[in-house]
Amino acid sequence: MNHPDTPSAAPTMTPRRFSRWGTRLAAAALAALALPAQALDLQWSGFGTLGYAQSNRPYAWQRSITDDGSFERDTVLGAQADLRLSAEWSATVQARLAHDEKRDGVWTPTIALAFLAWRPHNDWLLRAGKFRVPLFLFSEVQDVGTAYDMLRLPNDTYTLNPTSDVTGAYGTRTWQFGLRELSADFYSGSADTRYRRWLQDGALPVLAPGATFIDVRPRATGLILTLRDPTFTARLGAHRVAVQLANGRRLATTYPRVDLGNGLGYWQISNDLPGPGVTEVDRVHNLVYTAGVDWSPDGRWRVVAELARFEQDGTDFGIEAKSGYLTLSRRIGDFTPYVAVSRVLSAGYQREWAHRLRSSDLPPVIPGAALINGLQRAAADTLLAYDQSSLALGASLALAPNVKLKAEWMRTRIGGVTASASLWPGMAYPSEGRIDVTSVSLSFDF
Amino acid sequence: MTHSLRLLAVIALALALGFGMKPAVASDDLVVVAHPSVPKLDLQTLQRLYTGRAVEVGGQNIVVANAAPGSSERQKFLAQVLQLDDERYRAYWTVRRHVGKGTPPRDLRSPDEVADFVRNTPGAVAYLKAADLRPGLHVVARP
Repeated sequence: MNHPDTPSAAPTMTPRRFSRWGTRLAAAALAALALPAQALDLQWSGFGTLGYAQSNRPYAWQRSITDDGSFERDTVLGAQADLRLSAEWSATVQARLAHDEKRDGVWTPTIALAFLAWRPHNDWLLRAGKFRVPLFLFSEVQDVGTAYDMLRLPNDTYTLNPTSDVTGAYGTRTWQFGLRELSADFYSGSADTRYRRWLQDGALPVLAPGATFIDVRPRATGLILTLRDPTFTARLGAHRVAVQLANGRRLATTYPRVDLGNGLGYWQISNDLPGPGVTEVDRVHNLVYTAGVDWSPDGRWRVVAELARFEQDGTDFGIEAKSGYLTLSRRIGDFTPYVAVSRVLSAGYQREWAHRLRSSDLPPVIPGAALINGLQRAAADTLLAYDQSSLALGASLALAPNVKLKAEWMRTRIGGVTASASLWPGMAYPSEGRIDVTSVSLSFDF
Repeated sequence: MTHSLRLLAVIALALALGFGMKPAVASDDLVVVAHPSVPKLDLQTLQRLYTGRAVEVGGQNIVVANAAPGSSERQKFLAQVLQLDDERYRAYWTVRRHVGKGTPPRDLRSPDEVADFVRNTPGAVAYLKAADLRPGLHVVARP
């Protein structure tokens, strides 16, 4: 079965010219390393969040939040080493310990950042290695809870980008206009990513219910323009992502209908099923456009808003969606209450695919009907289709300049489809439902 | 005539001591000192250097340092130069560090450390109270 291999796009890059840049950077780095030992300056820093979240539903929401409560969604511990090699050269490595993105129930240390940076003068910064792409305003610091007041970055938007950690090259050009600064960030790279899908019932004996993981190799190139002044940040981004499977298998572009007569039929979600054949391609592409604003006119009131549009090319089954959120907060001494609204809506044809696959119901008199029905529902489970909106009320309390205690209540209204729920076998699909999540966290950095 | 001169001198002294004439430099004013390789710095350049948006001036690589967290010099410098309190300045660098765009300036804990730093480190820039200014230190700005 090869259909569910319909990964979404995730920014990454690896330009053909990277090897040349990489050679130059490596040579210059070696020269920098030849400096006397006293030129080296090593700084350590760290960050962490202990987060607990509990919902009012028995299924797992956002992978791990249930009515039993969980520490897995938001808890993270990180350490970073910044080594200054010379006035122009530096190296950064950041390690993080968090719930494993590639396996359920496991906590794993990973390297989040590992790059060499060259800043020849004020206006240029070039980096090579593993870095985090600023797809959204807070993507780069999403693990550093003290860097923002929201307990959790709006999942309806940030979930659309399953990974922003890529290995490649990254450049920043900055222009200064008085207190204003315009910067252009451009990157290209690739990632080894594993996407998690949850099969509610599976399709025994072919597919077991539960989590299944798909290894993908996204390659991305992007350009981000950011305008900053002391009270205002505005950002526009455009990214192109090519996604292919790590195992070399091909990706379905659509599923043909197999008509059995008398109005009965099914969708051929695999070439292992009888039918005219599934059209496949080696890779699919996403175009991602983002716009964001972070405005704090007086240092107390703060408005943050972002919009994202994901376009899918080459398949019916990737991510084609619009999303956005708006957060309003006010700093009152050490206390910062906030309200946030967010929304994500997949393209109509993707929501329709989720609906038609999930509602497939061949009668038992058809040979193999149970397996075919199960396979189609499993295919529906793998789609990244969303129709949901959320309202969050929360607050952060700065216990110290480097410690924030946060609490949040969030209600999400689910429309026809959601890819955020991991349902146990036999559970009713939560369409037109709602889920409340209450969370507390303690974040620190040093 | 001599009497008139004495009277003028007394009036001038009285004005200087408290009747409205402000001394040229108050003892708790800040001065920005630097290694001799560093040229004079204006307010905007100081803002860029202390926020990591500039790392060189006129071809000279710059290394800036702050007074110790909680010190009156640091609070005054951040307020006067960056219009930030220490908490927001720290938050700014927390973000900048973890997006991989540099590390915050080092902290110096005494006027002696400032003097050693700017004398011995090419491109060094730091600040201290005017009252703590040592002879021979290169003053590049008075914020």
